[in-house]
Amino acid sequence: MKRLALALGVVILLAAFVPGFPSFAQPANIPHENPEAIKSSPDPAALLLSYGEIFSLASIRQYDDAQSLLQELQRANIPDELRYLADRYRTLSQRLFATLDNLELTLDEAAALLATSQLEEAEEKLASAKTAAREAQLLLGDIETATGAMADILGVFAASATERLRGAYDRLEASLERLRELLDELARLQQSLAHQYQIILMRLIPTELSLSVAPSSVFIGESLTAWGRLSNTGPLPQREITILLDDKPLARATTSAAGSYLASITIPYKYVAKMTLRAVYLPSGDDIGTYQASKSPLVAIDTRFYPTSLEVSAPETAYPGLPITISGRVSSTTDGVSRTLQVLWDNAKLAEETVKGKFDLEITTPEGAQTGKHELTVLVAPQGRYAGARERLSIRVFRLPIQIDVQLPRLIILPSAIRASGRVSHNLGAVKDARVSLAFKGASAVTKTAADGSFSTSIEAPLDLSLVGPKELTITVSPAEPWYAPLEVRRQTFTVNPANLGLLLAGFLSLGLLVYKRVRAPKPEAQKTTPQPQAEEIPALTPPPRPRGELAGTRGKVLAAYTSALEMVERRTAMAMAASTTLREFLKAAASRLPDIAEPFTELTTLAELALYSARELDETTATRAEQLASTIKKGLLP
Amino acid sequence: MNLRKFLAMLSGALLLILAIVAWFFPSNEDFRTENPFWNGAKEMSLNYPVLALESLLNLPASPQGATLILIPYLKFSPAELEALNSFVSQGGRLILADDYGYGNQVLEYLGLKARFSRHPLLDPLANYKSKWFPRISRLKESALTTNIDSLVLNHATSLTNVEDSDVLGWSSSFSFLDHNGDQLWQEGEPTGPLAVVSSHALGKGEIVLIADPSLFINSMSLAGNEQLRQNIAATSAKLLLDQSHLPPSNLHQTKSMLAYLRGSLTTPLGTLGVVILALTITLMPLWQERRRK
Repeated sequence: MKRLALALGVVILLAAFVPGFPSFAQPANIPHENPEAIKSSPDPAALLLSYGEIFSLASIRQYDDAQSLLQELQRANIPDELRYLADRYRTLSQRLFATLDNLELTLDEAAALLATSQLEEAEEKLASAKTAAREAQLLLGDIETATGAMADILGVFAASATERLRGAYDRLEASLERLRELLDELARLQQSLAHQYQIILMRLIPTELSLSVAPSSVFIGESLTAWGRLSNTGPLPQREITILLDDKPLARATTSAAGSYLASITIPYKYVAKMTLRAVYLPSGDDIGTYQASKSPLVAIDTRFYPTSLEVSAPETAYPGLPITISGRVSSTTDGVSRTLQVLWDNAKLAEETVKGKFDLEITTPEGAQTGKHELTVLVAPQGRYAGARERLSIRVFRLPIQIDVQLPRLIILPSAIRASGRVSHNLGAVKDARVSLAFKGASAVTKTAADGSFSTSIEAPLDLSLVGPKELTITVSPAEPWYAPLEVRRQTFTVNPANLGLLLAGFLSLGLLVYKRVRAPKPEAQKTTPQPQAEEIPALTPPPRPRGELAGTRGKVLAAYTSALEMVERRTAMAMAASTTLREFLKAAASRLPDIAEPFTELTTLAELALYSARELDETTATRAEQLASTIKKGLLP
Repeated sequence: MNLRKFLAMLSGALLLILAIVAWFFPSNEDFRTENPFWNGAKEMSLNYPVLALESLLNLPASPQGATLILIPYLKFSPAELEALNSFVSQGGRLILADDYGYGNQVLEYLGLKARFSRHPLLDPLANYKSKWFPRISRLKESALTTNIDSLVLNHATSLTNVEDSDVLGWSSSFSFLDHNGDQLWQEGEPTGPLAVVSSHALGKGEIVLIADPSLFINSMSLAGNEQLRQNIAATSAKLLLDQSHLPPSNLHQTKSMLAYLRGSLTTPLGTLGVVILALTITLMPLWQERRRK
């Protein structure tokens, strides 16, 4: 029966658990994977295809797009064995595209210069175009070599190579071929322009252009006079001269009958100490195809302005919403000029003020400023001859720490209202209008601090299954002013739940009552009929019926020997053999108390069991042995 | 003990054991803030002050400065959509992170043209380990993308109908949308750069679209992704992570049921009921004995 119940229990246990297993299983319908668990799987064919695409773009002269794709390849998932080669490949390609771009630009410029008869500049451009074309040829050669090496590493030509890999390589080869065609075309163009240059050089008449300025030193914003003469063998009248300031066109003038020109130039408000002027003559109209262009030598002008110095000091710390004072001084060669001062907080304009000399500027730290380091920039805008100035300061934003003093009852009886009061303050005084939230076991209460920072509220502590013990109450303070830091404190209170305690007590009492009644219950009928032999001799012991000599012959002798030994054991152990106790149970109990006679008593008990229950006849030797054992036990138990 | 009694006791014990195991067994459901495994969002909830939201109807009444991260794997009710609309239009920031879920339902309701393409975005070159993990390096400077070098997505999709000026992140030029599911680019399949992160002003608030919710799971705390989470937290007065539209699981349902049961038992009536039950069981033998007499 026991075995059946056990087996049934196991079956039920499994049956109950198995349907529950899916509850603990991983849900599988979300489209994502554990990145740690996946193996890196670079795609070499995609890499070759991308290079093919990049060279295709370059071959149609979209160098910027090709460069930007190359840039993106920096982050490509590339096999480790290919990483070095891929990096070199990318560097070579970037250089090739930059060279090609530069070559095209140079050739365009050379063509434009030739068209305007600027032969000197055109010659320079053609020389650098030739160098660029040679460099591009070399780079392309290197790239083709690297492509072959890459194909070997990727096993493009191996028998095991996939169709996709071979196809990608073929596309890359085709793109490189188109790029080579482009390069050849550019080289041809360079040669053609060089030839054109030689022809123009022989055909055009050279010109000469001079430039003088006065005064040579001026304040910015002031004007100066520039003049000069355009000539070849004689004066060239009615020609347009362009005057460049730092290589940018600034003014135009027309030559007189004597070939001379005059222009008034206003120096712009650029706060630099030196600028350069140059006059340029570009043939136009009928002059094209007749005269060469010319340019004057560079003329340097000393430009003057009033430098501005700015000294600023500001606190190193600030608090959101609280003002800080920025002090300083704006000075330049001539004091007494009002200047516009701007204050930027992390590059956002915070304040603007007109100041003269020393200043003290009060600004309010932005309320939303995060705690940590910020940049405060103070700048003076340029104004006419007065240059601008800028100072950057580092400022750290903190929030003022606040303290809370809370009064809570030491002992809370549940369920009841917990009265909480206290005061929120900081070093300088009370914190008013702060939001105080209390949370206790799922219940919460909110209040605000008064003008003196005090607060008082109560929170309904809910009834639950707890009995007694410490419980945590959380108090959160959110100040109204942004310059205070929020605060969270936890306080332990001791709670007692009398309702639960009472009910638990009642439960225990009931259980105790039940146990008491069981213990006091009358003994079973069988025990009432148990004889109590030798009650007078052993008052503390009431031996129950035991196997007596009801059996005759050898069995009777064995049983008699056992009974005699048993009585002795019962006396020494003060332990009676109950009616429900088996011989072995008694042996077990007695042997633990009388280890000296455990061995003979065990053997005697076995013989007694044989006498009582065995179907086999016992011989005389067994009876003798039983008597010997009984005698040994008695001797062993003698004091 | 008779068999009936034995079976009743065994069943009771089993129920109790199962309940205890289910209660203490760590959550393994995707995106859950209590799940510490690779697919959970516990790391985020530990690193940042994230409040797990169990119902969209509990959104804050004054949402200015608050950010709600929404992973929409369940359909929305009209009331929930209205709650979202109200949240955004009153100044909240909604970060809708979706790939193949119900993000488009939200976008349609909010009246935005942008949509999640719902096709896998694969990048065979610019990726983290595999084409299913596209690396996003084209990022527009913004408060959300400050100090981010690159993001890594996990089985993502892309955004469509998004104005270039609204896009904050694009996939690489080598990426493509795998329309036919063969994991290879075929003629006609859109190629990168494709929009994967965008920001749209809506009412007084803002809606940020991210074409992959897996950015927020524990195992995706790769450098740029972590910075994005940090930027989101740093620019939010209150950070909420919706848990009510995640795929339901048996474990979560069991845990919810147990939590409900526990909640019920901690009410005065529930506590009283438990005590009465305990007393009844304790005193039952006494009552039976009296009846026998």
